Amino acid sequence: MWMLHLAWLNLWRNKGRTLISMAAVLFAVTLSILLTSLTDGSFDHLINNLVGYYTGYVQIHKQGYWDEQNLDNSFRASTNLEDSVKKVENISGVAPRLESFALAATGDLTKGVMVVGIDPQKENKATSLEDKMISGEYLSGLENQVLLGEGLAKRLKLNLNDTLVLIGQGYHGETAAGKYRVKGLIRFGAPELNDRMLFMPLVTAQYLFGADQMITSYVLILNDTKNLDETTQKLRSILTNHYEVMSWDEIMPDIKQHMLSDKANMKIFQAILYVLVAMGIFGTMLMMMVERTFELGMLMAIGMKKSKMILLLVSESVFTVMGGCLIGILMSIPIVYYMKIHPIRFTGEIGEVYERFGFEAVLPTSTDAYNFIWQGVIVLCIGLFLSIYPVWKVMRLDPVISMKL
Amino acid sequence: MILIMAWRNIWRNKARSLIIIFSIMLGLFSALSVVAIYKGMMRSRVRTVIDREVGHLQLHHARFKEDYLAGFVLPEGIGLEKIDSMPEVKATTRRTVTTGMLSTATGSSGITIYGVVPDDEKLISQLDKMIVEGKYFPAEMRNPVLIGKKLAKKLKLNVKSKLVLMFSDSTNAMVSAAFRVSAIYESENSSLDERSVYVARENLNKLLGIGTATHEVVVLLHRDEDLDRVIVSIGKMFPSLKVERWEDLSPETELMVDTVNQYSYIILIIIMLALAFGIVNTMLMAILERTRELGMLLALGMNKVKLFFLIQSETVFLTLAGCPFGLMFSWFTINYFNRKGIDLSIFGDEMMSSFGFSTFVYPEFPFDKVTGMLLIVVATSILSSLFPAIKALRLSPVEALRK
Repeated sequence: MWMLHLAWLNLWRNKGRTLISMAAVLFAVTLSILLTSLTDGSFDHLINNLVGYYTGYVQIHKQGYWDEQNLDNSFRASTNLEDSVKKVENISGVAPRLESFALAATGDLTKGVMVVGIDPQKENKATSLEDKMISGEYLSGLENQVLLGEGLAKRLKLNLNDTLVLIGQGYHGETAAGKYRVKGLIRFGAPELNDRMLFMPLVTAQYLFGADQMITSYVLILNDTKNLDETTQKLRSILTNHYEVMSWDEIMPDIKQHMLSDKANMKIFQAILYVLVAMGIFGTMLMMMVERTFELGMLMAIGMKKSKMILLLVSESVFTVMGGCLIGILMSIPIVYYMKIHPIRFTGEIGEVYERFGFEAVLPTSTDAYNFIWQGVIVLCIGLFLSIYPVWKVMRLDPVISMKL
Repeated sequence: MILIMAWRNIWRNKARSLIIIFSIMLGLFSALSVVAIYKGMMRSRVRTVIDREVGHLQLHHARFKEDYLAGFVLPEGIGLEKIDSMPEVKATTRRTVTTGMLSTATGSSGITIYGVVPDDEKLISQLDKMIVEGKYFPAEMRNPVLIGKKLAKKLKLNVKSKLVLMFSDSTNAMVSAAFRVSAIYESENSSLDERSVYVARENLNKLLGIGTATHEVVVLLHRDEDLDRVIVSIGKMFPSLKVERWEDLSPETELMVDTVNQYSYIILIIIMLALAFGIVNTMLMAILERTRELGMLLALGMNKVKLFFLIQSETVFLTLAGCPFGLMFSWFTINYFNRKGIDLSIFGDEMMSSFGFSTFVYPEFPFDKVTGMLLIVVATSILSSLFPAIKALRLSPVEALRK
């Protein structure tokens, strides 16, 4: 116990040295936390942007729909099913959709479009469709009217209140055809959606495709987008084999892979950062040992055992490194939070490119507690590993030489 | 005098000097490798886009891109052949392009149909090399079509499956025709695989009713650097046509390149900060250790300005020593990996290819950024030595000697 006390006193004896050593650890922790939370934050931001576009975080379909996306794989909407899904923790609602491909014709122009029948209010909760309106009015629920992607409207040369004809294949191979008025225009950042989406009330779509009461998917409205795996697990356990539950990463594997690859790159950079901070910490330890050679030699000369001395130095390092880590974590909390509220903003050309895709050109940080703790622990390990150096130095210490200044 | 002293001081404590030299070397190495990895990634992505997808530049009828109307063909007799004979041009091809719907018994999907000349296409998009199953436009097959692997999976199509393509012809009347899958291809960009199908140009032209006309000229150059010059001269030759470079044709690539650039700067800043703190801390510790020595110098009558310069010149020497080592080390490592490549497929097989990346990253030594990086590293280390040097100035000789 007296050993710990001595170590403690030693730390206070030379405050300057202790502070510098702690600062080295502190900056190491802060910088690695900052790097991780920036990376994670920008990924979350991207997911949010993409998921909020159209797919939502989780969807339920009839088993096999995803592999063969056609109306024959639709299922009957039922309040029973909706109720049991809504009972799952974290799920606040469901938005039904009937999706199918059709040709849109106006005058002498024809284009392939994705027809989506929606429940306007519920859809709005799931993907905030109404916010994406640029002109006209949002759907109310029963009308024979449609919303068009801005790019699609341009290609079909349609304006508000113009009429278009939809032709396609309905449920069980029936012919589907109908005439609709354009009620509003929507802007999607992604050209793929902007140039081919068409929304109409669910009932209207069911009538068009001859698919009374049928829907192709439920988009879930979640309270909290973390713990996604847990929610999908629970859903799978309560739903029978008749349905498939898919989260966004299964719906958009491209995006998931893109993120994985970026994360893999980030690991390389993180490793580089660790090596750099390790050098910083090692530098201070090295100088500390140079400075204390005389003192340690003296201790040895008056009869202190090497084993005790090693214990003393290790406890000093543990105190310093732990202190540095703790303060580092505490210090990075306000920085990370500040950068979440006032994120780094891309300006200039890249800002414009982002706007064009409908993304907010910012780089927010993630405030996941996990990052703070993990990075703290990793730097702690680096620090503790590096304190092998003083131990090694003490083992080779010769009192006579070390006191000869 | 000061310089000689600084020089000797460096040799007196070799461990300290080494660690500072090493930090600088590492700092420079980290900065250069971050940029090199990103540059390599972007280079391969840009190569894929140019060599496999859109070529260096494309020409269309000025209004064709508005809604891909079959009637907006490239006018005949304006001398498009002149492009083929330009010395910078490696290859060109002419395509017929239309959008429409692909249907089978089980489902349908919106697609872009490319009518291509099979032999030309080998040189431009290397379509023949992307085939995973089946044959590239076999002569014996009537109406062959090449579809992407992703689309094949989605619509359950195999080689020799029959499908129907539906689109509007040059008079805007709907046309539909049966085709047979001759091959399934897989490119490095699976979202394109889902949307593009390839048929023989003569077949498509007949259905569109446009004779031998085409919609699109794709030009591939020998060297990327010629693009700016070539595009100006082609633009002058055909003022009535729309001439676009690959950046305009593939805006997602532009988005990616820009994001990645921005990102690498932020990472650079963090790495430079880590380097700076490392140097500041080591130098501060050094000053602490040398309190007695510096106090002695002051007591002997060395003036403070000189002391300041002594410490500064020590850092400058160390930085200058670290830089060449760092450069050499980075050069060798980056070049090694440039040849061998860093395999990122260990993180998942389909991973990169599904977003248009190849799974290998070949970092590229960023010659254009070396001077900048060197300046940043040197400035960082000199700035970070200011703080310890100022601290040394505050020493009072009496206090410092009492130990």
